[in-house]
Amino acid sequence: MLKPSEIKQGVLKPYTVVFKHVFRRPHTLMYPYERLKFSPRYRGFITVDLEKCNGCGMCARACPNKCIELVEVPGMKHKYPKIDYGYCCFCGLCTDSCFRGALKRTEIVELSAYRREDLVVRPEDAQPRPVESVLPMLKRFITVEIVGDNVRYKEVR
Amino acid sequence: MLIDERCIVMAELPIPIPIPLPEWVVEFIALNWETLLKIIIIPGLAFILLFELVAVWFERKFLADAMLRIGPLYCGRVAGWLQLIADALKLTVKELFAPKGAHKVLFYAVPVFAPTIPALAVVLIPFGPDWILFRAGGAGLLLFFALTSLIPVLTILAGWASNNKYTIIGALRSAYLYIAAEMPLFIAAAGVVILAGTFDLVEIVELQSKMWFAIPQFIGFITFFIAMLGASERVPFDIPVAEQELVLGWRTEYTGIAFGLLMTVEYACLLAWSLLFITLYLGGYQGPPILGPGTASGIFWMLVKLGIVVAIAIFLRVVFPRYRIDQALRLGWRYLIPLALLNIFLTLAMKPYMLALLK
Amino acid sequence: MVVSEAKEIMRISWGPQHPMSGQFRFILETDGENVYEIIPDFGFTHRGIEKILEYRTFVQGIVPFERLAMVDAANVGLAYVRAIEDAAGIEVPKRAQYIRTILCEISRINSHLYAIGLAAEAAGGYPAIFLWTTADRELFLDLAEMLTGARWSYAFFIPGGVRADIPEGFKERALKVLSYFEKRLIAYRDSWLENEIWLTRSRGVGRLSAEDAIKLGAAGPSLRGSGVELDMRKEEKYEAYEELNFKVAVQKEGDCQARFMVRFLEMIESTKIIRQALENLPPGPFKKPVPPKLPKGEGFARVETARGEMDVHVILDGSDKPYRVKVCAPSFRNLYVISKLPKLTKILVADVPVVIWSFDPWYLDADR
Repeated sequence: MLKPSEIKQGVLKPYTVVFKHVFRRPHTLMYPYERLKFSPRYRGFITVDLEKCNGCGMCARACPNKCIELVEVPGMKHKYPKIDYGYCCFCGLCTDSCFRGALKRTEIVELSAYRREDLVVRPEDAQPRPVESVLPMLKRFITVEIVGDNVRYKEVR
Repeated sequence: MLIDERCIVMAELPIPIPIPLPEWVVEFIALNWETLLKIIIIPGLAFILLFELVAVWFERKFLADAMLRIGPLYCGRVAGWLQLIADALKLTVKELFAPKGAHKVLFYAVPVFAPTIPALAVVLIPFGPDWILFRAGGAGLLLFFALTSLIPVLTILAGWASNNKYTIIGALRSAYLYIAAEMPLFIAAAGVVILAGTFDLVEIVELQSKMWFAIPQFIGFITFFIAMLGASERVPFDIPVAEQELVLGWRTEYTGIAFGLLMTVEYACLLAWSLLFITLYLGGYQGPPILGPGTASGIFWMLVKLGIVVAIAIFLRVVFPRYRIDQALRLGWRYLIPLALLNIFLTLAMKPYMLALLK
Repeated sequence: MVVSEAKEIMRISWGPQHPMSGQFRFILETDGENVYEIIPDFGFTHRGIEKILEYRTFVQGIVPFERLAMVDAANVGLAYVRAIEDAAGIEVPKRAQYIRTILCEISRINSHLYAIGLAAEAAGGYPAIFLWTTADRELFLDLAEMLTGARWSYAFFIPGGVRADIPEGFKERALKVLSYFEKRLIAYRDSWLENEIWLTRSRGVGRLSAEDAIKLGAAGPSLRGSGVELDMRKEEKYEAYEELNFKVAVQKEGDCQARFMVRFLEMIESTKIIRQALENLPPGPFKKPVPPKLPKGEGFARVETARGEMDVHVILDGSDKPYRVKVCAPSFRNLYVISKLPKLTKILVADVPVVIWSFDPWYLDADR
């Protein structure tokens, strides 16, 4: 049979500890009305700066999954990288290897499409865009703040 | 004239009904409006269905808060209270079929009969000094236990009728568990009966006007609560639900609305046992002895107490994992039954002192 | 009862389509109550990573390698990088060693929190503990994201150092997260590790003695839960662990509860390690230039991942891709121990989820 101290510790204490959690704020983000603001290093969608790129192909060589291919862009001088997001694993080796700074990471991750062909993004389409353009219902950006014993979601611009 | 006579008959009703009804219907309602209210509203059909709705909603939202998330949110404008009705509607449009070789009559009969048995047991509980549907000639407690003993019969029938090796094992395990949980319930209730001297539930409640039976019968109070969780298969005893190789035990082969009806059995059992628990140990429809009689009606106090007891029982689900079947049986046979017997010995030995406390 | 007296042995597939089995298939031979054999059925998630690595350069190869055990990606990636450095004789700067240590310990905390949450679900708890651990992991994932740019798939270690330096604001944020986490550990201990019904489910279940653990080759917390004090961080003294002050978590009983206590205590030690590493971060470069083609050689590295010791053996042939990579995964050895366990102790069918998740196998690790 259980000792009274065991009952208090094993049965009543878990009950009160779990009960106190009812009064904490839930950890749910109301996506797509709210979204976390990622750090500047976040490896999301890759944008191509057509002015800076010189067509060297280092990014294509660095990619582990061979998803970058250099293609012609009408009206521009040399070849530019075309990325297939069906194979991309977002490792960031291509952006690190570009010493001209033409490939940049953004924080857009909403990249789903209805057909596999739509996942291939040509260099002239890979331009920076704000998050609200892919997420039109977005109202707030959120960061996670630790306030005392609790975690709060704070709105950030 | 005919119109005048009908107007006179209608004027006898407490609430005027503007629909033209035949005279015999109006007379019937006028004579028996109290009983009809009891049957339909409280403690009858509407109460049981509303209890299911509220209990499931409460379980989902309150437990979601404890798990740091939000439960149902969008269905029904305020906090998702229509979610259960949406789920029930979804279940009605699913295909209803019985496995090959199953005994079709029994297979479909069990989900129809299973929720009615706890509902029948609720009929016996007094909600007020004369607000009781069936007094059972002074043997309400015995009839309650007799009715709820039918539940393992139905589980075994369901498990056997499914024509599945695993469901019959699951049904037998569920029956073992129920027997191990029912014995302490009988014995703890026997302690109350010895103290009160009667099987009638109304008289048991009347005797608790000065002090609730929870205090002289403390051991029985705890034992009854734990065994009640076992009898209605709530956590930590919900072994038949996610055991037996993690399919649903005796409920495995049920789909569609049959499955929905079986899910309501769990909450109906919880309702029936909680009401009995309140009646035996927590003073039934009377308020706390400090406040004195007549503060608020019996139904109000019953609902308040029911809310507290059911909230505690439901919240246990998020705190504890579940027992293994042999551990649950060991708990029932080795610990709860001796405790309940100890309760009876204490009651027999100290009956005069306890009665003096109650006067 | 007629059914249980038959005593016929049924083969049940605790298979991939199962709520609590993960991506793996166990075949249980049972008579309804006792389990006589647990046979793991390998190969469901075999992707041929060792072969893939022969077609990737060293820097490209870190990306598929950490897919062996993504929940613990830093420790696993470290094994490969250390093997290459061992083969080519590359010396890593001090600052890079400390940064690697910090990321490895964050990864270990993530993995242990996940394991504790899944074990709580395996025992039948309505997932309160699982969701709390998920919510607490979020803070560490955000911390890792601040450092590397990804929440799970870091790909942060390269031969010669790390890919980037510690950003501004990382240290303050990390210290805040750690102090919050230590309060949460108290909540876990109070509500789960001393939970009466959890103790009934896990004490005395799946007992593994120390001799059996060494003989059968258990790894990680499974080994340390049986009383054997063996931790690669103290044996190999790699990265910055030599200069940091921490204890090895060992428990004596060898049942499921002991293995969980080991994981719990290891999380506490990890917070201490991260704190010390952040305080004593040495200045200097964070990576060293390494030529793309490495000379011929062989390298071997042993690393303590969250699940146990992982060994990587690399053979270089002078080009810019490795000739052969061989990985010895901890979960493979733990699955062998699980398959021998019914002969050592008594296991009931209801104990199988608790026992399996107390060994915490990560099936992608075992299948490679």
